[in-house]
Amino acid sequence: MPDKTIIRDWKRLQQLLEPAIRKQSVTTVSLDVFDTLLARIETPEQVQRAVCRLLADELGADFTADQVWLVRQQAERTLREQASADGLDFECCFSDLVPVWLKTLNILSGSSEHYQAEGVDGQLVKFVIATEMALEKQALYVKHDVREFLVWLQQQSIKVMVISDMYLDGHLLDELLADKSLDQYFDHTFVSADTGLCKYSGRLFKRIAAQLELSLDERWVHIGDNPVSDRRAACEVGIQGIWLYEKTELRRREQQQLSVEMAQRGSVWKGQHFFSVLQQRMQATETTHDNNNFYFRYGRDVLGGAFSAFTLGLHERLQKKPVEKLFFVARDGFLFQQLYHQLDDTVSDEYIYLSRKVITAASTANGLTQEQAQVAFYNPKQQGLRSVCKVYGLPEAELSVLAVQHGFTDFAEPIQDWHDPRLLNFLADEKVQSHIKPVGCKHRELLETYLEQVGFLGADNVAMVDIGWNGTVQKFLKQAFGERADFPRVQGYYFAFVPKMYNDFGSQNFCEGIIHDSRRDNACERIPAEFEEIFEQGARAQGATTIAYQQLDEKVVPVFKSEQAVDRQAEVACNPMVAAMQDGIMAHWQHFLVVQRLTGYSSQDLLPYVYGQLERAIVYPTKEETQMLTQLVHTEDFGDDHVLDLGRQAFGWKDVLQPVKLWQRLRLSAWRYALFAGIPTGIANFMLRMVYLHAVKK
Amino acid sequence: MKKNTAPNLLVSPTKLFFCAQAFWFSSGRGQCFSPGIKSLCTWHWLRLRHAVLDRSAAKWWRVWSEKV
Repeated sequence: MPDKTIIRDWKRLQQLLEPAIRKQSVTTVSLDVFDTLLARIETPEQVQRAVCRLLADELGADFTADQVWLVRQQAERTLREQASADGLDFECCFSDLVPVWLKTLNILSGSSEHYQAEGVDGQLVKFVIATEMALEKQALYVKHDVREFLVWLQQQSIKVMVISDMYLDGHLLDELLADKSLDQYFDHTFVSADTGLCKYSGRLFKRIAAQLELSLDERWVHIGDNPVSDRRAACEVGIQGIWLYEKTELRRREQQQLSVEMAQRGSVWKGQHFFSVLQQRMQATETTHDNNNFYFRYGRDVLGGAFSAFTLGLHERLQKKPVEKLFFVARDGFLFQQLYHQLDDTVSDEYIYLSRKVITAASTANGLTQEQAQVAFYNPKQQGLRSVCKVYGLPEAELSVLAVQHGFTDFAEPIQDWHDPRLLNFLADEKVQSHIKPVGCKHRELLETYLEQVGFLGADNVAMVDIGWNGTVQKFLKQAFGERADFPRVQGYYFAFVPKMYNDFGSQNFCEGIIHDSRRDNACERIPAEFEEIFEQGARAQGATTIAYQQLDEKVVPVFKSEQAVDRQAEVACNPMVAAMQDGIMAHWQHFLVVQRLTGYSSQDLLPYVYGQLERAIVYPTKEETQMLTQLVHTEDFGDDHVLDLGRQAFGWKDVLQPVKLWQRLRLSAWRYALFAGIPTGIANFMLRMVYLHAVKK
Repeated sequence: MKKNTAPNLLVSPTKLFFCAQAFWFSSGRGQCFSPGIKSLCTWHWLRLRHAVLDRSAAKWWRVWSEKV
């Protein structure tokens, strides 16, 4: 075996050791732990800072995370200097460090007597150790090829141990190794923190040799990533030191450090840092199976960030303004409920079967106004009075006869002028209203009972969570039941809130869009409105939309749209794709929660980057994204059976000759940027984006 | 080193900068996802410095030239 051994990867290391072990010229192998067997998704300093931040939160407003961090540094330096003065190496032990650190903090707060009297110190020590261990476990992962190497090493019937220069106590290191299922491969664990002797001085190797009665010669091989501690110091005491020189790993750590430094600049850089950490964790833990499904990847890599930032933002708001009960509105609230449960399951919540259809139907108990009727005309495929009947669940046969008297020869004629005199006269007709009111009363009665049943009516302060966009459900609930004394204060939280239809939501009826709120007038965050359907598809439940309620065994239960309806069948066909997207979003969320705990970033820190991610995905989609996403179909819950086809024929050169037709296509397209996605470089979409941003109302 | 299987999760700051220019030319508002020209230049400079002053290669040469 050569003296100066530099090895670039684990496979070559195995090839080097194999003949030597076979000849019994190597009988002991020791390995370093950190950055050799295990790597971190975040720098060690950031992990320690995360512990300081959580400790500062625990201690209350007297301390900032930076203060706690500085005191830790100070306490650590004191202990290391003390060890050096005592003739040991420059090392300290975590179980000694924590009490010293907390003692200094208590002195700073001037409340040390209180802490000691209450025994809080002991609890805090446990809290700090548990927090540091929990975060280390979340940050650490087993490096690629390591497990295969250890399995092979275990089969060689030689002594295998780990030796680490580390401030964590031996039993804590054992706990970390056990968490990663690596403890089974080692006969012994040695840590500098336990003895105050380190590898870099060679004294830890000598101590181990004496303890295990080993000879300090070439039959003992030590492998590690540090050229000084793991190679030179080992060689100097007679052991064969091997330097594991993994260039990609060193580069990765440099990038990691650069990312941390850039994050100090704020803005999009915090998000860049956050998602690069998330990507590393994803890479370290994912299975190859996950990557075969496009929809899973799209949910995980594109929608995951936006939905996770939304859920985090929702949690932050509910922490500031707590509510008695949280209602996730069907059907898009389905995913939000799953996400929120994993973050906080202490708030009482309910998945509530509401749809625009059942709400609007109930709102006609006092008759149908022009403002209500025009809601049906927002749909580009609207069929005039027929759409009004479908949206409000009104009797089409009776009303069509009356419509003729007011000049409507075709009941399904689209109404473009919302103040059409025929419409106004039709709505002013008492006979028309006498057909509408009894139907509305019946709808309203059932809805009211349902709302009492789920605890909405009767609660004091509730939150409603939905995808968006106009807040129709919230608006109409207030309109229909707002006069009841037990109508709650409602906080409506939406993924995107674009109150185009209504402005006045009434008193104690608050609405906010977390990802996008058009009232903030920020062009950049408007991106979800450029392809609303993909967010609705990504969040929706698999079940059919609610079209009415019925009384069943003294309970009011929702009635769902028929499985035979054309739009429902199209939905069912898309369900496997939606399910895969949601699996991807949930997979993203698991990583998101861990990385958020490590970095401490708020939703506001992440939003600029999330807007960038969405801008890339929606305005500059890849060919694969365009092909796969346009296979989805979109339906709505406003009573119509229309199916919105997301797949429009791509832009062709013939379209240049028909600009008016092209403009129409662009206007009606659910995802206009998909039309030009086939044109290389993205320049066409860039131009379209510029023109569009210039044209829309600022 | 495993292959990057989530290329769409991370958007390069340069790409974000160029995408944000569509807002600049149209309205001058809402450049919230632009990394900013100064920060972008700093980022490129630091990456270039890392590439040129290859510390991992320097480390390798140092070990290679050691006597032991």
